[in-house]
Amino acid sequence: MKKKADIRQFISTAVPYIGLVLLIIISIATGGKSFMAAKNLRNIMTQSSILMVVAVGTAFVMAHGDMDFANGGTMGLAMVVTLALCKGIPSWAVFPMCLAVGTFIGVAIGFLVTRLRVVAFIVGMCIMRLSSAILYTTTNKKTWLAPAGVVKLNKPWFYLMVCLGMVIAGIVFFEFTKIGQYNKLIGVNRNAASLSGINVNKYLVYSFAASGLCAGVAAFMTTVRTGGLSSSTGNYEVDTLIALTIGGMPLTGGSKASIRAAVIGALALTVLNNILVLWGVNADFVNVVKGMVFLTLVLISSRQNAGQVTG
Amino acid sequence: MKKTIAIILCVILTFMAVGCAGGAPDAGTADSDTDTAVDEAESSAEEVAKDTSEDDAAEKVEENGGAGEVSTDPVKLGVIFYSKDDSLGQLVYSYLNYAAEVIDNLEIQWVFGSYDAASQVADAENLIAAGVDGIMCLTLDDLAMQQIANLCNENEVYFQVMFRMPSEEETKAILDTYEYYVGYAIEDTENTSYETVRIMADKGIQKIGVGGNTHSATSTLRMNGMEKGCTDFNIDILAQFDLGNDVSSVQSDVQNILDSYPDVEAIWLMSGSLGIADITVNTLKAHQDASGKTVGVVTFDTFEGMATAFEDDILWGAVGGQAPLCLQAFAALYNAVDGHPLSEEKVGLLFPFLVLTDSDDLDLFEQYYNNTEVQIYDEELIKSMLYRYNPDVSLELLKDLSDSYSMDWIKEEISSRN
Repeated sequence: MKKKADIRQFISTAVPYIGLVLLIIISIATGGKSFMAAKNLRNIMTQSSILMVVAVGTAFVMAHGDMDFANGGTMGLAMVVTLALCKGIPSWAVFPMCLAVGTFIGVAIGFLVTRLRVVAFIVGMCIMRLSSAILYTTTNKKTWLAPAGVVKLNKPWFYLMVCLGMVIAGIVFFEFTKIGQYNKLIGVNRNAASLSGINVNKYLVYSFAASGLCAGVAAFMTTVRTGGLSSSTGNYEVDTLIALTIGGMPLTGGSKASIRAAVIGALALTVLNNILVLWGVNADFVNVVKGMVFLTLVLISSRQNAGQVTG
Repeated sequence: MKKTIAIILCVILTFMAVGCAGGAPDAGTADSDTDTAVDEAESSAEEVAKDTSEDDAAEKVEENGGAGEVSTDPVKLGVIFYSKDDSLGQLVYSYLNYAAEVIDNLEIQWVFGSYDAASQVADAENLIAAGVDGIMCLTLDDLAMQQIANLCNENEVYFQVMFRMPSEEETKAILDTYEYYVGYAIEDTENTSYETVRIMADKGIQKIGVGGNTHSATSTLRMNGMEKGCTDFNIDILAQFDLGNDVSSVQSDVQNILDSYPDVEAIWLMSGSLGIADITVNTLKAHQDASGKTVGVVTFDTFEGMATAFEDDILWGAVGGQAPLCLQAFAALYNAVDGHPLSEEKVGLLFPFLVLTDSDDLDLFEQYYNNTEVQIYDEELIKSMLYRYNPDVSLELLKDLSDSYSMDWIKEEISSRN
């Protein structure tokens, strides 16, 4: 009986990996040289890196069962504040500035959620609208360009290094520190976590801070990639949620939450977008294919996670 | 332990697949793409056109002393567009696909649905990886324009902006330095916006409400033209409401203006898409029924309920009809890819809108323009814009063609084919 459960557990854990590997195999088989070309692999790495970093941060919030819709808004606000101030600071200071602003917004969201008892989802929507309004207002007259020193970083190695660093840091904090462990425990059962002496509010704030910090890093990466600030900056809310879900992140958080969901999901989403363009699929079918793939993966993910929170 | 085994298994599978894929056919090119193109182009008339074009190409090679100036290589163009579901998207999709049908060596690859600069850059990267020779894009802003132009330049892929232009001198200066940036094609937005105010002025209107914003370069141009018109025609703007992405507030915004400013005579809308014009017309109709007073509307974009709105004398002007601009942009790009750019300088094309002011205009518009079955630019006209088929093509020819664009021209052009 235990063996059967172990096998089921193994299969459910492996499903996102299998999905990604299948996607890659299909892409290689059908995309051939175009897909495996060094330039295209660099594209996939670059395109997935920002989403991956945002998803790593969001995983901390989702671990305790909240929906984080503030990541895109936080990115936008971090970029606005940083670029507004960057004329007076050297290029190297743009990165820590983005981090600081992102983390600050994350902490502020954490306080709103824990102290004022506002639902995280609602706070996220408000941040999204606020950021959108500020971006429209600030960019409607003139495009804000990033300092030349920042734009020079627009090289594949930069995205790879930052992304690797953030994923490794994410794994360390998620799996080997109280921040990750306690947030997962809160996701399993908030009352039990509280009764066992965990300062729930403190660790919730930490999770939002982690998400804000990652959004700050992603804001910097976006600044490097786009060369400045535009009114459409930071449209990552939905993609992040999709990426984490297809990567195997339980929507209700809990013990099965992991950083691998961010990595697998971001890669899968990017590979799918990439191969659909390489295929030259009739545009009519692109959304059908995407929709079917996502639905299948989410169904698998939902089934494998069903009962996991209470179990 | 089990997790580790799973990871190792996946890695092994991936590497096995990579190893096996060495001899796989390149699906991004040749066969599959040709099949699609052939499927779409399998009519006898097209075969004739194909034969003719091949003969033309061969003749030109001969004329040029066999120097091979007219390439017979396939041309693959990527198009990045926000959607193909709205009126403009449907027509652009139809027109460019028709061009791909009638031009024997052309293949078009579409990418839809990107609404931010970073996503558009990613689309361009993917298209370049797919082996396109040129990219046409409705860029969302100057940043996307700069990044895609830079990317294309690095990869020696030609780049043409359509329905947009650099909104800042700085951007224009940067783009001008890129060899592979062909130019832009854009609607004559500011002047048309000015003319929409004239429609109201001709009716003796002096007090209006405005729905608009300055969220993008295009919306700013529309607002600028409107404000200039209001100044020149002595029209007062009583109140203004923001037209954002959320259209749910439009009804209450218009109603608030009607309630707060009983002397308002018309509403000017910077955009009527996404149901904005319909909602506004319905609100004004309800007001007309209740109070007996007519407040008219002039709007950018065309919409479903135009016929009734014209009949009720609520709609005084609607602006649309700019979709053939994509073919002018296409011609500039195709000629550049084909080795015969229209100009040594960067190409800037201005394309007029159609302004509908009554039911007669609307009938013609629905019959000829708002109909994906009708190709306003037919095969002959499209080919006349390409050096491959018409060595006398010039930038002036394209400009003349756009200058002559009007409802009457469309009617004449299509009638002459029958």
